[in-house]
Amino acid sequence: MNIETETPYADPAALLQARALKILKPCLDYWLDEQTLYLTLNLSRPHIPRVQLEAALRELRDKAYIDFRVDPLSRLTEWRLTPSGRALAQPL
Amino acid sequence: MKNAVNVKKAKNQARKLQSGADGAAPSMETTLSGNELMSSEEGRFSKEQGLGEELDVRTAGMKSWREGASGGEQESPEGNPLLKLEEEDRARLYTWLRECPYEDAVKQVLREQGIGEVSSAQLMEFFQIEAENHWEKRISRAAIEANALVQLVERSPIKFSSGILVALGQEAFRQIASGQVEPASMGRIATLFLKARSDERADQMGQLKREKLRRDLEGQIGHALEKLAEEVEKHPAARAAFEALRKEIQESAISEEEGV
Repeated sequence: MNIETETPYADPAALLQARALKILKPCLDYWLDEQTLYLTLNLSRPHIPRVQLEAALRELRDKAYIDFRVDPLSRLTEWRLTPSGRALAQPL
Repeated sequence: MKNAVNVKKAKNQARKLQSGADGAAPSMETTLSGNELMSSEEGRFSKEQGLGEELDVRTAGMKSWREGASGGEQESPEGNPLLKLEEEDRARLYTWLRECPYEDAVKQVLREQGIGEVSSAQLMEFFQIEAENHWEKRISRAAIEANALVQLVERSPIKFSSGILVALGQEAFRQIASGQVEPASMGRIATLFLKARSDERADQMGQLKREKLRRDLEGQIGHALEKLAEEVEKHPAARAAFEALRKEIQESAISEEEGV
């Protein structure tokens, strides 16, 4: 079945999670701070409120697709893909 | 009108990101406790085992997220002439849209260039796609640059611990990806590595000179020995003296090598 011709995936929460994964994918093993992730995400329409992003990130974290830490120096929350998250983002 | 507001917001965000003028990011520390992190870490592997079908569904979702993100409100990429522009023209138009707050002025320039009439929605669609690609490239490049920096330090004669190398790579990545590169720190890093490189080159040059000198000497000694051997053949009485001399030279060469 050709994925390209499928009906667009309509679940907005899943779309947001997919976009977050897509942004985190090229970071490799490095941590991307949440503010940069948020701004990058909001370069496209529709606008993503902060709470939506936080919910999406929390759900991805709960599914172990992404991991987070709080940088001890900058105190920024930072995210990166886990091995399973990388496998998930591979086709992108 | 709503579109124009969105474009302005996007522009402002892009500018903020580039200039590094943002304040500290609102933290999720309040929502993510240490216990939650631990439980997430512990449960990861067991959760990964059951991902199978969900992965397929999510992958399909990601494949089409771009189409879905438009929500059916935007024109399809096929209908937008701006998306068919050459790479160079796309980059130029993206810069105009980012730098110029007046959409009418950009439209006028496009008309003058023969691209024709474009709608605000098309301009916004173009900007969004380009901005997204731009930042993806930037993040990707940040990782590549950080890796290169770490590899450079790994090759230096001074050995650093893996923890320091990881921290160095992460800091380089953070600064490049967020657009908050601090000129002073980058300058210091660049100076440090330029010095390390020049030291390395000086060492290489010295080594090459020493090698050349050694080969010249070997050539001269070999030539002298050949001449001497010819003489010895003519005067068998001198053979014993020649053998002793050759042995002495060999011994001194060995002792020199051991001394080096």
